[in-house]
Amino acid sequence: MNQNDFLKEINCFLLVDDDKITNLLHTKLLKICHVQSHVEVVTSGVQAIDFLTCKGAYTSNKNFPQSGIILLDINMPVMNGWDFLDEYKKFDKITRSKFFIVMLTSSIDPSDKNKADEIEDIKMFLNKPLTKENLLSIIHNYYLYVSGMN
Amino acid sequence: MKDFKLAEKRRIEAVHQFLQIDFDKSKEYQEIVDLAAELCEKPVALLSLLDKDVNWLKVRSGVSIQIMPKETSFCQYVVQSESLMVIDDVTKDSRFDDNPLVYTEPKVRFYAGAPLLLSSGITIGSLCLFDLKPNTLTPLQQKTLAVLSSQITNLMELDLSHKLLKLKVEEIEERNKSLQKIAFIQSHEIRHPLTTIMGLVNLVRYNYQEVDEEWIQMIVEATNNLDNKILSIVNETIENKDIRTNRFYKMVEEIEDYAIILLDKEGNIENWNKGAEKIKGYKPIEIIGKNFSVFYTSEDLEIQRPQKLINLATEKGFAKDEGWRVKKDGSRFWGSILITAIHNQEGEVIGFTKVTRDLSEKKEREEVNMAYIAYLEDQVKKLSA
Repeated sequence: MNQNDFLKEINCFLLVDDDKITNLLHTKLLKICHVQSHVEVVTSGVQAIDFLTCKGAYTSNKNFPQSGIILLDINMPVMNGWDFLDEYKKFDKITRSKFFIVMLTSSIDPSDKNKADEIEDIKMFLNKPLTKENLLSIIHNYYLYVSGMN
Repeated sequence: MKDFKLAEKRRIEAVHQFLQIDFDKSKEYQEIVDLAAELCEKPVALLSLLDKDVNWLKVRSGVSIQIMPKETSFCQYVVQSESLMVIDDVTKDSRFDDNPLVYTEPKVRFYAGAPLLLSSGITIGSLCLFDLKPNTLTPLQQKTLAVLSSQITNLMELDLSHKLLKLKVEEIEERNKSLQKIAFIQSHEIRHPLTTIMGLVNLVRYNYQEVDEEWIQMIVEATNNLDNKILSIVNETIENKDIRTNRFYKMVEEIEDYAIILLDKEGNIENWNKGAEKIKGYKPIEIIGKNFSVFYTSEDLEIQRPQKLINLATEKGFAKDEGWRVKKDGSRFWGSILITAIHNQEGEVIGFTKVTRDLSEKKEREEVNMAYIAYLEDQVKKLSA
């Protein structure tokens, strides 16, 4: 399977950001990159956990998510990106291995980057704004990541 | 007259400062104390710091005891006299003949001590010598003891100032770190809406997105967010710095004869000065955030008097009124009211100031009555209109 075929195979994109415009922007970028996967938009860490565990508003979800890419913002009210990762860490290892978490931030605080480097679940750390090139490199890295697993 | 109590308090404070020194860390203290014993030819030498209740034996040569009660210490007399003391045979000295260290083990016989005199003039302890047989110090040995005690004091002062300097440096570094943290937070707050704008613009720039109404709306929203963020950061800084503004608010706050309050566009109360509390009876916490219509009688509320005054002030810039107003306890007062509109740079009304004077307590009863009659007439006219 080449990378383009693979693009169709990505099960799900989960966008986690409290800023609605940012989410819209990311959705547009996914379209521009011809991503045809399911795109789920949530505005908090709590919703993201609910979606991943098919709880709360997502109880009736049966098909999603099996695997995919998560674009995670750091600064969000209630449950921020770091808090989300703390919860996410409680998932079993096999489940976690199916998701590729990309942390996105507008912070230029190097301590955020250092903190992210320490967390195994974070596969990439990128500064906002997300560009088409960034998104393609995320998909490429996810492809390599999944290929490496098989 | 010297205030002994205060002087002793200062002395104890100094002792506590010097107790922070780690005397075992550097060899110098031990070397000087050993040298004192050796040059003065005595079996025991100590560096002692005299605290409120105890005598700390911080550096020891010839013994291992680390602490002694103050009452039985020889050191206290050196500290008191602030000068070198040599006692060839302590059993012949009335100050020591009842000291347990003298009449029981170890049966001390000889004592000599030189004060640890700080550059501030405070004596914090002694460099002292002991022997179990009566003994003496030659003039040269006395001089040696005095020199060594001043050397060891210099060393202690140097150590302490190093320690304090280190703490100061750490404190400054800590402060710089937190300032940097604030800078990061502020830059993040600005960058957050900025990155949204950059993202929106990028898509248009590379022809991935057409500029439609929706897109422009999003750019406008993100730009407004950025503007608000910058404003709030700037305001935060100004709030702390603009003393003149603070002084003005303080002045308004302190005025007692007039209720001077700020209303937002809807007439909700934003501040509350002493005059307002005095005239209307509410505490700031009870009233801030409520609508100013609570001061109006039910009759006035029925004819929407507060709203009409706000409308008039919006239209003409100000509105004057006189009439009965209601206090917190339900009683009424005759108030003279001036509402003035506040405008922003674009000329839009952003709020009002309301100045109320209580006329009912003044000896203008007649005038008040006249005004009341006029008020009633006015009401009748309005009702019949």
